[in-house]
Amino acid sequence: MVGLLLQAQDWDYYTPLKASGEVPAEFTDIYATKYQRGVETISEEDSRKNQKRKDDFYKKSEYFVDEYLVSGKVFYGDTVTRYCQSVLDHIIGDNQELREKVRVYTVKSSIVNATATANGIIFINLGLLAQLETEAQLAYILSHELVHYTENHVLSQYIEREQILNNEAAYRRTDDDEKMLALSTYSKSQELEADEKGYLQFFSSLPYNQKAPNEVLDILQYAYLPFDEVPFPKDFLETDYLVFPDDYFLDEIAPITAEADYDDAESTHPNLSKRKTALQSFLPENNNGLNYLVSETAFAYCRKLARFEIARLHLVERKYSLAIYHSFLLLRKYPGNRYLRLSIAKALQGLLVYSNDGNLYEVTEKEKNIEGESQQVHHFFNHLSKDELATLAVTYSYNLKQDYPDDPAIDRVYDKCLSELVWRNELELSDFKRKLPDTTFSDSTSAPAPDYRANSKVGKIQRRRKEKISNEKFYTLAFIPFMEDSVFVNSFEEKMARKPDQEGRSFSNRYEKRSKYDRNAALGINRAIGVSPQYLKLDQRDKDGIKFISTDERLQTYRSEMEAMARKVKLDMVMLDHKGTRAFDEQSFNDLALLNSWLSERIEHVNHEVLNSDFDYVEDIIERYNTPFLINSGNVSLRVEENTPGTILLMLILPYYAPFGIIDLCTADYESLNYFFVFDLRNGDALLADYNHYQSNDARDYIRSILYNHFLQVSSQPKN
Amino acid sequence: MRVYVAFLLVWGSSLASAQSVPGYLGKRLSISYEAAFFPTFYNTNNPGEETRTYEAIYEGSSTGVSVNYQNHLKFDYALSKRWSIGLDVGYLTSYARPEAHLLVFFETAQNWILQENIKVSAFNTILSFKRFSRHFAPLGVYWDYKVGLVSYSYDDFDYILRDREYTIPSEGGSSFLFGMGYGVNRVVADKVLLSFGIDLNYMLKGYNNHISLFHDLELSEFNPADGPSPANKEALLKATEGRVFSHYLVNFKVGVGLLL
Repeated sequence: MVGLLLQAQDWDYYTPLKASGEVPAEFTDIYATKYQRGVETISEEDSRKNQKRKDDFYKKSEYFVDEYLVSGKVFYGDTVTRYCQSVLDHIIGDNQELREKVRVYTVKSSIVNATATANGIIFINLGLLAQLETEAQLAYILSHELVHYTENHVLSQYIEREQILNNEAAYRRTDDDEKMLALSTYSKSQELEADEKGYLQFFSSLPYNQKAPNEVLDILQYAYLPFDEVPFPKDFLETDYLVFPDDYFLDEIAPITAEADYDDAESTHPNLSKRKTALQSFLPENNNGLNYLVSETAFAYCRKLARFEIARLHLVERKYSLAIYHSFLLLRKYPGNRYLRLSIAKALQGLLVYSNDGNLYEVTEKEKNIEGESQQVHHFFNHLSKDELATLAVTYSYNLKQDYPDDPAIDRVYDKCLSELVWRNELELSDFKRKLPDTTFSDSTSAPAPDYRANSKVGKIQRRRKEKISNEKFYTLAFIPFMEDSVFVNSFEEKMARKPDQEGRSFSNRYEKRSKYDRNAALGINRAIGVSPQYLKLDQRDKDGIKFISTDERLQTYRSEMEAMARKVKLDMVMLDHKGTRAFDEQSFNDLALLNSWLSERIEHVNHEVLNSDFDYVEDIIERYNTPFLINSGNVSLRVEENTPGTILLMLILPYYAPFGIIDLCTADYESLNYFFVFDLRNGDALLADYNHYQSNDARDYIRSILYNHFLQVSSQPKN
Repeated sequence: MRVYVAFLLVWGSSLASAQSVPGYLGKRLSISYEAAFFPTFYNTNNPGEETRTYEAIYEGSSTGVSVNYQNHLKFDYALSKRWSIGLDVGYLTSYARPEAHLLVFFETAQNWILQENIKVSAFNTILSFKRFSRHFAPLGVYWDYKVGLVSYSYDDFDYILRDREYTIPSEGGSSFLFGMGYGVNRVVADKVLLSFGIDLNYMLKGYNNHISLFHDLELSEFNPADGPSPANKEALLKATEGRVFSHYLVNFKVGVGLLL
């Protein structure tokens, strides 16, 4: 069993978790099909109002679940998913019907959470798995989620919510405060029911450790903290020559304040204290049991996978300080691990670029909001100057490079950090010391100078020299061990020689030029990868806002139009899309998931020239598809509410406006936005970032025209 | 004039060479027929074929409502993403009612018998520049800026006064026209161009003689007894200008064309 579950993983060269096997139909089925399946479950015996409500529910829930499934965060058939499924199979036992309906998928998210959907999917976040201590705890969480499904909590909560908000049934005479209370109380009662029935109906029948339910609640209490609490040592990022001043570190970190009995008035979940109390009423006195039924090894392996993956997820989410602390925690157990050290180097690179751009606040949290040992890391980076951070990043990455001299990924990070230090921080080799300051004349003992030296020549010279040394910038000593290293010195000098014109390389300048509406590119690209397009049809007049069904229909059309326009300009575009016409296999699924992750990080960086954290993983994709160019596009169309009285008034005041007014009143008003990005996966450059805001609907001719313009710019050969 | 033409050519070619022009899926040229029309409430546009006295019509008849109508053949070429240049060749026929346009002395008017209204025709050649604000030329909403020349004339005008037949022979003139339009172009099946919108044009001649929805008349003096006198010819020409001016002033337009 264990062998079957575990996939080979070289931890030094950790590769992101991958889906495995045939892609389940629910990832590739179109939304309309899923919605129809949901509708078919509605009983005709229900009242008409309830039938309508259930129809609305399936319309919405299937849409959002579908969006989640194709987001690139949800994985099937991977090691973690298969392990969780094995645990779930134990819980379900012989219940064949349930076995057929319920399935687990892993979610690449650092958030500590698990959810169940109305159609039987249980999503387990890696963030949750990373924090668990035993398989029994996982089993209890799955049992809890299973009850949400078997008791149809999602649907009943929706119906209850609608009744509350529409003053129906028992809520006829409730005011707003009572409604809010009713909403909150109802979802809390479901949580308590899932706790109880999860235990009584599923968990209790298994020989698992019966303390697990309580332990899970303990874990949830501290879920906002990293997976371990270990003091971050001052010397973790130091070297013999790069020693940080003591005042860069906190003497005391903020205490952990999480309590189980917090105010849950506005929460959907009851507080942990209430849940624990409720658990006590049915948990047995005898708490003996097994912590593992499937496999302890598999659990440890999956948790390790989750923790390694989270180091990457923190980088993708631009939580650099947390990525460093998380990697530090793992390095204690896996010392010298290349992947973890590279993650730290990547995080330092990210912090350095944002710091040099003057936007460090975007990627660091206010230390006062952080509790526990990780606060030290946040404090440290908030106090480091730009030059100090640049020196640290270069030092760290060069040390790593010395251990892995032929590693291209480490080379890239070192090169990037050095570029920042030389080009942005404008530090030169001469700004750094070649050897330690001469202390011959300084007093080597800690004993105070004798009185007779107070005003003597030697005393004065020694005092001045001491002052000079203490005023030196401490980071200028950092490169002393590298100064005799020709690789370091050559790379430094090469960077200085190739220092680009600041004006020309400024990203913000480039974007200003690009912001012209009629900008025109000629990229000369003849092959590209297209990733799932996005589409959204909104209606301001609707209660829900989103037109779910037409959004899905238009998405299919938009995808076809993209492919058609690419063909028209003779661009060979490989469209990676769950719902596309191209065969979508395991490889495509994993490639698309990675590209979606790359893309979401790249878009977050906006105009910061940070190396995308997955830059080393996308190289395989560049090779496989024989192109480094990535195309992403989407369209949002909003039907806006007509300002009828305003138009009529204007027609009365200005009679010559009447013809325009009549046309305006007779035609629907729209606000639409189309976007189209072309990125270079090799360096993250945005070669084209076009936004078309147009005040008209998303009719076929408009969409085709816009897409043709985009694709023409992609394929046009640049003029010499 | 040569300077303006040179400027337009340089401007147009600079726009075209500065960027790859998408047109509509690469199609930049369109040929279309466009009908321009607007209801007329006061100066009913019809031949007035029945023989009637001027006085009777002037005093008692209802003017009714009819439609002013023009035919246009348009050639448009997308110069850039936002601009297109176009040539508009248009033609209209209309009728100016003497009782609306001409001031006739009361004594004479009592004996003046009309067989038809004054038949007016006009031909325009207009250079237009369309700016597409929301999509790429030639698609979507556009503002049209126009300059052109309108040639107009009236046909031989026959009438009877005190049993004597008179004919005032055809005369014509021309005037510059400036205009502005707002419209929407849509494309069906990637080939057919549909358009609709509204035009406002101002012809340099004719303002004082036009009959609009909201202005009082300014009539030209006409003495039927003088026959084809220079003064009468001028009065008819002014009526013609007024009529043509009214035609061009405000129009809805609907067109259909082909993208090439």
